[in-house]
Amino acid sequence: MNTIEHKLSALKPVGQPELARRILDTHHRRRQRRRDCFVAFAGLLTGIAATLVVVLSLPGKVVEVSSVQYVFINEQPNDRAGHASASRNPDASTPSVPLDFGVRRNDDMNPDSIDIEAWIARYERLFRHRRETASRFVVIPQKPPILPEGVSLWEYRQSLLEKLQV
Amino acid sequence: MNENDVRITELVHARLHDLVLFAKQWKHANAEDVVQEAFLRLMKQKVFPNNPMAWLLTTVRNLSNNELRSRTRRKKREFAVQESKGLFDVPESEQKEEVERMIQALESLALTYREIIVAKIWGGLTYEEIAEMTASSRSSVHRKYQEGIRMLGEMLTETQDDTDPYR
Repeated sequence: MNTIEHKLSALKPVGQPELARRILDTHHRRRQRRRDCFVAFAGLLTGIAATLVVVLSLPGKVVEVSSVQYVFINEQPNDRAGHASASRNPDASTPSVPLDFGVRRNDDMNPDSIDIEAWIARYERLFRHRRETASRFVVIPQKPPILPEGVSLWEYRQSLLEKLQV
Repeated sequence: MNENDVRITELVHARLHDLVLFAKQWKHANAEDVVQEAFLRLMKQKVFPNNPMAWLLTTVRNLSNNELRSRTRRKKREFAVQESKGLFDVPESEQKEEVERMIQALESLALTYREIIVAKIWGGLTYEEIAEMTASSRSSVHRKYQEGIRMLGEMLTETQDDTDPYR
């Protein structure tokens, strides 16, 4: 290194404390945001995984999601008791009605206020796998209505099944 | 804090002033913004560069060239006047005059020489790294560096002769 280089290297550039603070602040915020995103994503994945585990481990059973109850109806003759006791009809083209169709009297929610089609559409993809093994799948409100005067539970159930085209 | 975060923080603490000095060689008003932008881009890198200082200097150079192109000639002159101050800490000592002469001489060099000298002395890059940054050959960079230093020496000798009372 000659004299000029030596003299030049002895020069000290002006410090930049304000700029350093700005950059480090940005850096800190980015790291914080990255951490938050990671936590949120991990939470989302855990939630999806947990839902899938529950859904996939319950063939032909009732799955409760939020305020709506899903019933998977398997129309195979050798279906398990409970859901398919009414579907032992060998004529598969005849719509079958699950006997344990979960309408309960002691609740006060009007099912007409629930957009059942929307619920089906929303969860259809999620339950597609189950639908392949359970030839049909219906959704009914977990909280059934106060039945109108003079309408029996059976009549209500029939009308609901008609509505659902089961 | 992962390893790269630590390295970025260290670079900010240890090399920020060198990077700003390098950015100021383009004599535009946004030298600090350019350096900040370069750091932001470094933070966004998926693969952290092997030599982050060389990477930062190259990014600063590219951003500065873009910035310079976007200015009109008139504005460039204005900024040249504004930016010619405050590049270095000038100590209040006997050598103050000499230091100021040296800074003045450095600033009067053409950008081609200045960027190489600043990248070498304050950026700590090797000739190969500077060659890569400036998209030229190692020998060309070496030649320009030596030439720049020689010109500086000449300028300093001239100014010294001018101020010599016994001359």
